Amino acid sequence: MRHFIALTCCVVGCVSASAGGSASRPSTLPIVELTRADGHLEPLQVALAGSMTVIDLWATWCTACEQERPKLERLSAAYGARGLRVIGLNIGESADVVRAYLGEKRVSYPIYLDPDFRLADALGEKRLPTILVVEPNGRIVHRAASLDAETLALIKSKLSLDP
Amino acid sequence: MTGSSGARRESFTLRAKARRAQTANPQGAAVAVGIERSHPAAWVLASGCFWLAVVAHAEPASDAVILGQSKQGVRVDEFRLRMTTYYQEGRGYQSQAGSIAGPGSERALIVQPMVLVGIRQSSRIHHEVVVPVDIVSAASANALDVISHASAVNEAIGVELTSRFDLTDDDRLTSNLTWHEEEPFGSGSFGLGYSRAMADDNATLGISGQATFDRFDYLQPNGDRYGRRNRTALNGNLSFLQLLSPTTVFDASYGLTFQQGTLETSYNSVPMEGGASRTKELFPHSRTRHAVQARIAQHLPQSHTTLRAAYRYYTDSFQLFAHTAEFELHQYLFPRLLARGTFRYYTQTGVDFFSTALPLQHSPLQPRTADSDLAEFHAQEYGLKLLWLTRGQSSLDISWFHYSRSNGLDANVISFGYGTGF
Repeated sequence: MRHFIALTCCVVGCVSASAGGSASRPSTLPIVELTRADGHLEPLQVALAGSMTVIDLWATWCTACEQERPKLERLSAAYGARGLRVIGLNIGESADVVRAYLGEKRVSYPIYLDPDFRLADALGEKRLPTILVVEPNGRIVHRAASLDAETLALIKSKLSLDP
Repeated sequence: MTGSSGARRESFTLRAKARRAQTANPQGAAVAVGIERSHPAAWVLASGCFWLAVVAHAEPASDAVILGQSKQGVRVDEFRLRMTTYYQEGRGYQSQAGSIAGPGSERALIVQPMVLVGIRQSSRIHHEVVVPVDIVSAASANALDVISHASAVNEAIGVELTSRFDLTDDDRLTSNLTWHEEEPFGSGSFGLGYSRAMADDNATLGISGQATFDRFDYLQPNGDRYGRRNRTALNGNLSFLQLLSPTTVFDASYGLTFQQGTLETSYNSVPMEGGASRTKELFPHSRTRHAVQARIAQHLPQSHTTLRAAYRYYTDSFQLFAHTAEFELHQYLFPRLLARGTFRYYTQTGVDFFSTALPLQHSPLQPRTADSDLAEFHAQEYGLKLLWLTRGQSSLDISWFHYSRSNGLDANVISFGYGTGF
């Protein structure tokens, strides 16, 4: 019994230590080239298209990501005409996997790929889903685990829809 | 139920997996451990959406629509129905449905309909009400039925209220209140729990406590009733959950329970040496129980598979020691059809006052039992569950489990469930 408790504490302590502390996260998007789901390479700045942008970090196996998608679709539909751009960034999956998924799910906003976690690591993001709100100049002004009321209020304020 | 997701395709490369081993993510972990919402701690982490519509009621309707919270105020957001039948067959020495010296029948059929209603009070407060009903048809599960009448039917009803309060993004308070009533027995309990997400939501530490009060008729093996008796139980739990990678979750817990009062089943009896008579069961007045458990779950996105393994060690002041090993395989057969296979092995020593032939000179004040649950035995349980995630937020499931014990008890459990979210 004592040995088991000691072993458990050791394991818990080790994994806790390994996960503790968050690395500093950049406040601007790195300058990288992204692959679109359709295979085309595109600089990230082009993907932003000079717009206030919401970036959704997701994966096909992430059920919480799937729950975010309808909200992002509605957000895109509601504020796309007012200059908001919504893009999805798939994390850690191959183009084939993502394309097969999109074939079934019909996502209306553009999807980009980060199959080797390069951008996710550069952003310092550890969780999925993650919602980033990015200004046209690439500055990350907000990070959230979901599209919530706080995030939506910020987006609206940045679009100058609210005083 | 919400773990629908149509196509779950292959995902992480091995290199990426290795690199991500220390950059866990709660929602990914939810895939690993929370496919059926069956893991409370994981669900705590996985519900990264509790910021949903924090002030939805104060926002214009368009915001509420975007956030999917167009229905404001208190509302029902989940409804589940379940029908479980439990049939056991076996023999135990505590039962008088047999010869005086030998084991009696433990045959029983239990039908348990259950209703669950989830109520969202606000973005940070959620309640769950469960109403289980037990209909027990025991041909001779224990002495009581033999004394009263064969094929006795006993009904029991209960109410369980669990509430969840998200104090902050990281802090959650839970409370639960239960009440249970059946003919010779009434029970109530109250519990509080607190959990805190740490390390960028990669870990959760939880502490909880529960107090249970039972009051029951003091039925004797010969059918006499000597008023009412009580027992109380105080329980404390400490748990820790750690995401090891986006698809790997580890959790460990320790539980301490202290029971006091009339702990024996007063109408159970113990055969006396010589086979000519029986005496009533008697337990010590208190019992202290310890349980330590560790679990790990791994999701394999490439094959849409989740594996779980768990180990539990238990000991108590009755000198009962038990080990449990459990394995689960969750496999998506089709995008909306999930199969779960389980295997569980359990072994325990008997309590130190177990006897199936009590010496005649045994003091009437000394503890004794012939309850097969407290004998030395090992048991195996295996089963299969199929869960169909229908369109929307509904699900249907059917499951079958078989339990067999080395000291002569076999049970089959069949369950049907339906659930939907709003």
